[in-house]
Amino acid sequence: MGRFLWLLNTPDGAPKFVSKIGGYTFDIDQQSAFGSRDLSVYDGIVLTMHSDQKHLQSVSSRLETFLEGGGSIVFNGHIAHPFLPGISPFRPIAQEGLESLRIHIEEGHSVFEGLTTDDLTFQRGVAGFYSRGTNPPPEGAEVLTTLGVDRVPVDWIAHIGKGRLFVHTGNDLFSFLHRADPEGLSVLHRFFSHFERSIR
Amino acid sequence: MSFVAAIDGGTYFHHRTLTEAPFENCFDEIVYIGDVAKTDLSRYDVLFLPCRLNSHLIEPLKDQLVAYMNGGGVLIAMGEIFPDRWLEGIEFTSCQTNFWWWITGEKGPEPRISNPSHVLMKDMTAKAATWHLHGHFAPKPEQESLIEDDTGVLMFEDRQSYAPGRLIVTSLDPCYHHGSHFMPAATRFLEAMLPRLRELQSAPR
Repeated sequence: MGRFLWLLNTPDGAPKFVSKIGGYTFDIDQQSAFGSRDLSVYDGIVLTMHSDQKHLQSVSSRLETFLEGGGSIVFNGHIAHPFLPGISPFRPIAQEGLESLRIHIEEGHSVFEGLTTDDLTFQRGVAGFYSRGTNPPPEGAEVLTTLGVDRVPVDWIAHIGKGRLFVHTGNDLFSFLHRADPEGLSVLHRFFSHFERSIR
Repeated sequence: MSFVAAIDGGTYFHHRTLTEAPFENCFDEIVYIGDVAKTDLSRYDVLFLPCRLNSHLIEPLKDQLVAYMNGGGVLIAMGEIFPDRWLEGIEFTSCQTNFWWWITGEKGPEPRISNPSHVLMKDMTAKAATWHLHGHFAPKPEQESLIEDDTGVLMFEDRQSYAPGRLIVTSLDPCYHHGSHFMPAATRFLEAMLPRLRELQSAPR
């Protein structure tokens, strides 16, 4: 089953649930140790909102080679320093009431299957935590969720070589996926199942 | 006017806080975290460490930062950088963060500005310092409280331990929230604090 490299850039560890998602191995490491990791053993690399994007820029060709060879990269956060071809800086939306902050699940992809727009829009009845803008996707990307009346892309997948780049325009997608099934972790499990390599 | 530098950890919230409107003019120079070790810090009067710089990356720079303060510089460490882990004499206790007091009706943070005459506190209000808490300092006599609540100190200044330089520390994390485009109080906190950084006097050198 899948094996992922989860890169941290805070002294805290990864969320506790990563050790409980059955069938998957998550190797947790500091981003600064990235250079010493053999990426060929991984299905995917998880980048958090705390990522040092200037460092990611400096290892961009290695990330690109990983994608082209069939690996996946899952990124959380706002793009400040584009670290892969085709991605561009975050653009905030004007926050003008609930409809400007509503998350829409677009049809045609199973990553968010079983989740409702309310699951992603609200936390304790408050909107705005999931996303407050867009990391503009490259042409041809599959847009999975959108934000507000203009439906700007929030979650999307770009195909790069044989691999996939998943981008979440927000602080932490996993906290929402965890909350959707905190006991069974089925939503998290399904999410990571999409990013296993089809060919080794 | 003091010359103000900030360390950039390469995160999006550092980028927004340090280099985008409305605070980009509050800093004279931005130093990437990976370049600090080869940078002569003595050129700066004030060195600002924005929230959530990875303490694993700051710890190896400890001697350089202490020498900077001993040479007369002012070092400011914002929230979640855990200076208690890389400087001596700081006692910090983290707390269970209640993100939801404003929804649940529970008692929320009640910070007080304990030294309103301090240059960084002249425009500060209790309201601008109120969103949620990550922990408190138990200050030593040389650590003068700037913001506190009934449990402990949220921001202090130490003008003795590194004299003639000084250390200013807070457990509040406004750069992260402002940089993430949420929590308007965090933006107000920075509006009160950052435009005053150039008024902080370093020691003559």
